Amino acid sequence: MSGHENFLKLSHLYKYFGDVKAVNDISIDIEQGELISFIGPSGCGKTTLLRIVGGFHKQDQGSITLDDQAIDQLPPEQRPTGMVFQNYALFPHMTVYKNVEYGLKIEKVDKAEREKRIKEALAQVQLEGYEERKPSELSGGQQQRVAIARCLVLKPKVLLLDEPLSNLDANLRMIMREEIRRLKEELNLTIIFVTHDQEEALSISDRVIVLKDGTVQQLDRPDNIYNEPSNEFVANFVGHANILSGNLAEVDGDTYFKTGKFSFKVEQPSNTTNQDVKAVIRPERIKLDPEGQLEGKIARIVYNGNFTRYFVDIQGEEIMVDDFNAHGLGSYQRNDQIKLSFPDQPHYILEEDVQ
Amino acid sequence: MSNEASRQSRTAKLASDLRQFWSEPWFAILTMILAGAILLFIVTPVFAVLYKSFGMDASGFTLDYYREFFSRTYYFDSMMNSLGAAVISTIIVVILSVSISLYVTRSTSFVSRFYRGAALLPLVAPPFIFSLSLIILFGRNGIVTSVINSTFDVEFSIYGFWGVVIAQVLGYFPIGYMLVESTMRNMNPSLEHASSDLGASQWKTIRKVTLPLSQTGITKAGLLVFVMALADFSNPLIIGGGEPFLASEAYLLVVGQQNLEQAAVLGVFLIVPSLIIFIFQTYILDDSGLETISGESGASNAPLSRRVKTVVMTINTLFVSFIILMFVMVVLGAFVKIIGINNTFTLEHFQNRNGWDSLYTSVFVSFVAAILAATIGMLQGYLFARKPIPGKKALEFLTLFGLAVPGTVMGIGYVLIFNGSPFFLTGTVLLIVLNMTFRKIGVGLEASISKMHQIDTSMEEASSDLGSGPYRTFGKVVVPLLSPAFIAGFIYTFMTAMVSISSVIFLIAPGTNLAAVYILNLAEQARVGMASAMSFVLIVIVLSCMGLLKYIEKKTGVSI
Ligand SMILES: Nc1ncnc2c1ncn2[C@@H]1O[C@H](COP(=O)(O)OP(=O)(O)OP(=O)(O)O)[C@@H](O)[C@H]1O
Ligand SMILES: [Mg+2]
Repeated sequence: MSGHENFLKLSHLYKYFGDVKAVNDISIDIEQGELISFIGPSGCGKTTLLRIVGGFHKQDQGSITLDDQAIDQLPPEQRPTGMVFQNYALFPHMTVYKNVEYGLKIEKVDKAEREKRIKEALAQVQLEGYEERKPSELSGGQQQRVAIARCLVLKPKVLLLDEPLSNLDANLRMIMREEIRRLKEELNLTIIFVTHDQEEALSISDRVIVLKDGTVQQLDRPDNIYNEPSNEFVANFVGHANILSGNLAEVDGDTYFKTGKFSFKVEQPSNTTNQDVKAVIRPERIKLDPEGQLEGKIARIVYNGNFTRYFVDIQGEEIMVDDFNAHGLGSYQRNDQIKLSFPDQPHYILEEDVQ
Repeated sequence: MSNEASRQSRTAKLASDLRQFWSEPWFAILTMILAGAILLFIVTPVFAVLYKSFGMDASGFTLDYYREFFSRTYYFDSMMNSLGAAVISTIIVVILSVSISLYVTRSTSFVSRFYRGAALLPLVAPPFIFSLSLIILFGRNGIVTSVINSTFDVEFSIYGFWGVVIAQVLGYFPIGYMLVESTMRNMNPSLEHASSDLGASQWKTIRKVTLPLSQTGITKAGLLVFVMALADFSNPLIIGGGEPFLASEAYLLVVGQQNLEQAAVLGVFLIVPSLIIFIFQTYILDDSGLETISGESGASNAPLSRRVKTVVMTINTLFVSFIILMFVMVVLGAFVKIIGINNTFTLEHFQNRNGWDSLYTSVFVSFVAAILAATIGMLQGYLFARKPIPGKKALEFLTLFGLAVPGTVMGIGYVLIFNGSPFFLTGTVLLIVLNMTFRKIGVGLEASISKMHQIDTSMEEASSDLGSGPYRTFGKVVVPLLSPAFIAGFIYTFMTAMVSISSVIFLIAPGTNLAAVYILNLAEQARVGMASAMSFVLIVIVLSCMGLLKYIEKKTGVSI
């Protein structure tokens, strides 16, 4: 990555709609060349925050600087940001070429240069040969690419994408994810990517921001968000998690994590000495293991193709366990008695972090 | 929230709206010009009529003219005739509309398309054309009249109250029909299927399900037809046989006796029902509830059963044949010497210098008015749909109100306002254009607003994101996307302007005669041949313009 930290700096942004606190004191520093995702449940303020950056909403308070220039008072047409709208917002009465040319004409770029740059932009999104088509004559994925090319051709400093893949089918979504990553690497683009699909966010981003009710819950690398969620909300929102309340206790020199119903052996954690904690254990980290310490009964089975999820009843507490289907169908039945082994380094959430 | 707090927040909102309003000064200035024009060309004329009806600016406030209205049975009769004819015409139009819609919405056969085409035919003709053909058939020397009179030895003729009713039914039928048909078409067919599935016969289904669900649409259609029939001006004049009607009497008072005050009183009685109905339609009639239950696509209504079909088909066929007969009579009348008496082919009725001049003026004036009305409607639609304009609800109301004001009232109002200082516009083509334009801008406005609601704001945001300012965005993105609304406004204004009479008849001068008015004069004098010939040409022009537009629509892919 080319460095320049604090390339895009959002400081203490607020935006209220009446009583709704859509954005409530958000500060984020984004590096140049970074792809950062906003995720969070519907209505948490992702779009609002993105639109504030693009200039389509005026923040109530706070400031935005881009490349050390304050941009928060500029109208959208003067901001060096490029927005790809969820519905693409291609001009239906113009051809692909004209759509991409639109912004260049406004910048009064001369004709030869325009042609060159449009050609280049269309090549970047692999749409050569589609110049004369109307948007209505393109597939969803192609429209998406045109929308991106239309922004890229203006060489924006930041690309803003609001749920750009949500209108595409599952396969195309995968392809476009790769495309966006590739463009980002090739052109060293700085991208803000809004999505409500946590898997998409994890796979595409350099860093992920989890939002809730207009506030930042966690801002971190995807693997850290998944493995070390900062609170229960993040743990539940990103992936599935068993969250066990309990405490750590010493027994004969070993450390145990004890819930009210059962306990299992762990290593002495480094990040907490707190007695009352919550342990976050992802379902795939629990093993169906004949040698396991804990015994339970399979209450329900949900088959998912590449893995099978077992809901296992341990002393009245239901635990999710994912078993990777490396050998075809899962091998257990409902009501089977099985043994489980728990990871000895669960992630702990400190009680005072829990909101 | 307390009252104080809510008032404060409203003031704050108004202040921020105003700031935003002024942030695009050209749009703000345009809005103000528009508002001024709406007030001047729609609102003031109506108030001028009201003002005048109390004798103001001649003798000071007086109720004499109202007293006169109620004491002279002649004036009072004009009101009763107008109301009576309008009520009867409306009822007949509604029944016929339902009957044709029932058939047309359930079949795509040739017969169905034929009914539909014929039913819409009167749209392209001047509203009085049926008076003309009724005279040809049933006038004093009419083709049928002579047969009846000699067979039964009576003095029959169509002139009078019932002639007016028949002419109105034929002339205003398409308006009502279009509304009823679209309501029935939008109804979810599965409701009817459910009813018959529950054991109801088709009669019962139509009575208990179809009609109640179409109620709002039918009411709307009825009210619209009623307002138009009430304001009818030309049919009473041509075929009323001296029976007084409000609009025609008001006109005669102005031209014959220069009695503007008395004419204004008649105008007030014209406008009060229209205003009540307009307000009722805008604010009370709720069309959101019933018929918008969405249906699975592909399902269609069950075809009519034998019994229902027989009744409906009989009514439809009779009525549609009558419409066609009327048109045939006009065409024949145009091409033979004296229809019914000397049926040799001739083109002499077309050799009419004044007629062609008036046609030329009509086309020119209507074209300009249509361009203006469509442009203003589009601009206003954009501004109203997207910008925070203080008082825009009121302005929208007034603009649409322009559509509801009876032409006669508008005409008298224009005479009162623009005759003298500071305007001195009477007799100018400009005044005629302004009159036609502002009476119709509501159509373009409504079309544009509803189109704007279909266009996502992201379209304009994308444009500004790509570096374009608000005016360029309007020109390059909004205008092209609004072109269907523009064309709709244009067509409507052009077609109605070509055949409109009731308002402009007050504004024409010898040099600026209009085709419709000219034909009316010919018809009044029972100069059937020339009137038919000119009507024929008028219909051809309107039809070709529509054809041209359809062609452009196909060529450019802009859907209308
Ligand atoms: N223009 C507006 N006027 C009033 N309230 C708004 C407006 N835009 C957003 N809101 C409110 O602000 C909150 C945040 O909305 P926002 O659109 O940012 O959510 P989001 O995270 O993008 O949700 P989604 O995933 O559904 O797109 C919501 O409660 C929403 O109702
Ligand atoms: Mg959103």
